[in-house]
Amino acid sequence: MNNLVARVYIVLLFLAVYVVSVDPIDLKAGQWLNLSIINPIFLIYILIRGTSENILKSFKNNFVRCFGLFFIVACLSTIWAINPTESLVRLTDLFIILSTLFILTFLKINSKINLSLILFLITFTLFIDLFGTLSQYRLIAINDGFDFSLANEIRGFYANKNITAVAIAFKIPFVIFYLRNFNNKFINIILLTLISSAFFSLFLISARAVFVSVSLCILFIAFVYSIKAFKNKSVDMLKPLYAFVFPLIIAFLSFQVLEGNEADRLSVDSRIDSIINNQNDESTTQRLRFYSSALESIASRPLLGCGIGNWKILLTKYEAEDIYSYVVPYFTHNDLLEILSELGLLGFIPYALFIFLIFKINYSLIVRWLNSKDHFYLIFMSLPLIIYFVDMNLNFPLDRPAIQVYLIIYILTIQLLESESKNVQ
Amino acid sequence: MSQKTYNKIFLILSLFLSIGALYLKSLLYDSFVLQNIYLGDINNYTWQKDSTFINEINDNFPTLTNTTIPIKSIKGKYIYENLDPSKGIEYMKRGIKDNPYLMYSEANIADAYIGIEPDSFNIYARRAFKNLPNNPANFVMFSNIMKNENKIDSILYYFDIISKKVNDEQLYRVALASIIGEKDSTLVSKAINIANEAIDRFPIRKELFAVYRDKITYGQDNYNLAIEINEAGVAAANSNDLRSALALFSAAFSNQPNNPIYFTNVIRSFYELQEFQMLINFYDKNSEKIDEIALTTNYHYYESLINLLQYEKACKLISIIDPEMRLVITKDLISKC
Repeated sequence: MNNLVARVYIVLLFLAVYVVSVDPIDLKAGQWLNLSIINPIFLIYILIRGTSENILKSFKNNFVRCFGLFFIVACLSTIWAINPTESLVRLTDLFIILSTLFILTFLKINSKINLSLILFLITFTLFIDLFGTLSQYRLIAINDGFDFSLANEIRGFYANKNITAVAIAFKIPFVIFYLRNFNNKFINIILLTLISSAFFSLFLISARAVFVSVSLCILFIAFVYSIKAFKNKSVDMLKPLYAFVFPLIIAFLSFQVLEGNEADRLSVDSRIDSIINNQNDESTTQRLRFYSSALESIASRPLLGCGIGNWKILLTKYEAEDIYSYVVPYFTHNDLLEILSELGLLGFIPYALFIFLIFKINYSLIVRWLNSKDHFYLIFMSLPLIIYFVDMNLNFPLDRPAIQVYLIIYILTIQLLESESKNVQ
Repeated sequence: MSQKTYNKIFLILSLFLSIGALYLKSLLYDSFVLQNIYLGDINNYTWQKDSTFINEINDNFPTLTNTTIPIKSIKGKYIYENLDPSKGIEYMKRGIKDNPYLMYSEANIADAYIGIEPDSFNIYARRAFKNLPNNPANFVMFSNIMKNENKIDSILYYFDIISKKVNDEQLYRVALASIIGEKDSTLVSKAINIANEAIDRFPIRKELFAVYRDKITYGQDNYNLAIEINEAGVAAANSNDLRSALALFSAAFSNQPNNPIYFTNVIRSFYELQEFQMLINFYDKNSEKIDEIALTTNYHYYESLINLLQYEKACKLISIIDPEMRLVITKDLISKC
């Protein structure tokens, strides 16, 4: 029974992300609403079926504690917020994240969550995401021809192309890791095709934050493999690399060959170029301005901040000279700076600890990978962290329910891998 | 209390919070759906809604739209436009507290007070412009204050700053409208440059900005007088009193000597009266002031030149009037070129 409940909850979490709506705003609201419908049902289950010991263990989980503390500070910040109602709007998001984290933690403790199920669901939803993006691409390519200006039209099931790109990039390492489960060539080919299609979609979408993440992932892989090469000269350890490198190369070549037209090729080049030479890029200039406004605000209220959910209001004050209508920036495009400006150090510390915990588990997994002569694929499970970390520094994933669901699933996965590691030892 | 009880309390609290979150999320979802209507009305400046729609707007949760506009201010605007102006203004004032930096409420309150309560208008319009200076709507209201205080220099000063950042025709209209009637030659010359810049930047509105330019160049009175005289000329022409019509069209043209309609009317009158030499003289003297001369006007000039045997000038016009040389007079003329 417990195992079944855990499975149902995980499946529902993935399904909650897929909302049918043409409006990106409704879509996000719909995703939060879906999650808020699922969670009370499972809290009732825990209330009825949970043993005192397991509930206590769930509360004592470090991730739950850190995020819980962050949530409490956020609640307190409504006292000094400019607009407490807007704080409440944001608090509902944070509470949904916290309750999802708590429920999953409880289910992990109380039942046996099968890692393969998570990997299967991630792989399956990646297939759905790619189906959405590539079928939209196909429609556009047939009718009008595709170029970068239409990239947002191939956003698939998400609110915009940046979320789609992060979702796809985030899932690729899971699928690579899933390969460890199979010796069957046919399944391997299917999964490798899926990974290639995912990279191909990333080229089509050309989201800059994801280009940065993927580049960092390549550097990271090169770095850790170099260390491993010194420690362990086995050829076998190189085996999993093909699952990352070949699809990437195939996707890149397919992109060049299949499109073949100058405009598309230029699009990727120009997007990469805009990351490197960004002096005149409006989006980059805007981000730098937002960061500077955030730092100014933090300097004026370093301990308490302006109150959760209130940065979008206060930012208008700092950006007044650059606002030409009633459309305001809304986000800092950096979650850490936004939390620091909304909650000050008091809220930033627990959230930073929450992120630090993910790094900490990853560190132990990397060490385990470096010291072992098997577990070849394990290293790829550090890549989602790189992708999320870049995203949280250039975008605002904390406001995006789909990305939060994937992050929580990722946290669960690395915790399972950590326990697996301890059991082996 | 035992640990077990604590756990239960925590869980029950979480459950209540969770149900609360569900309720609030459903309110948010409904609000987001409705916000598309509000934002459409704001963009199109259409505020016609019935009382049922207005009364059902939930302005308590959330308090801001997804672009941080206070929902109370939007509701206030609907009430102001459709139900009760004073109650609408009160609502808009309550919206200020929800977002004190966006100046949306202040701008709408100022708009509501315009021409009714000058002091209140001054307070809100100044506040909106001071805190969000590059918003065209705020500039419009601030210009109104400056115009009343006869501070045209200030309008042009801020116009220079804002127009460099914002590509909005409204800014040009406001700046130009504020200068109409000014006699100061420096201001007039600056305004003419602004109007010409607007014609280049907004070609779709070039006729409108040409009117502004003419009003500033020749003065509002002369501009209006020219319209009246031209209308009298049209009436005279319709009564076949061509002599009077010519006199009236000429008078209209002298009041606004760059107007292509008045120019055309004068030429046409000369043509109808078969005063070809007068037509040629008038055309030669004034055609350079006209931006776009009608093809028929050019044709009258062309025919007049041929009638008076001024072939050299006429030959130069063939490429403009009859490039394919279909007209009989062109065919006759070509041997003389």
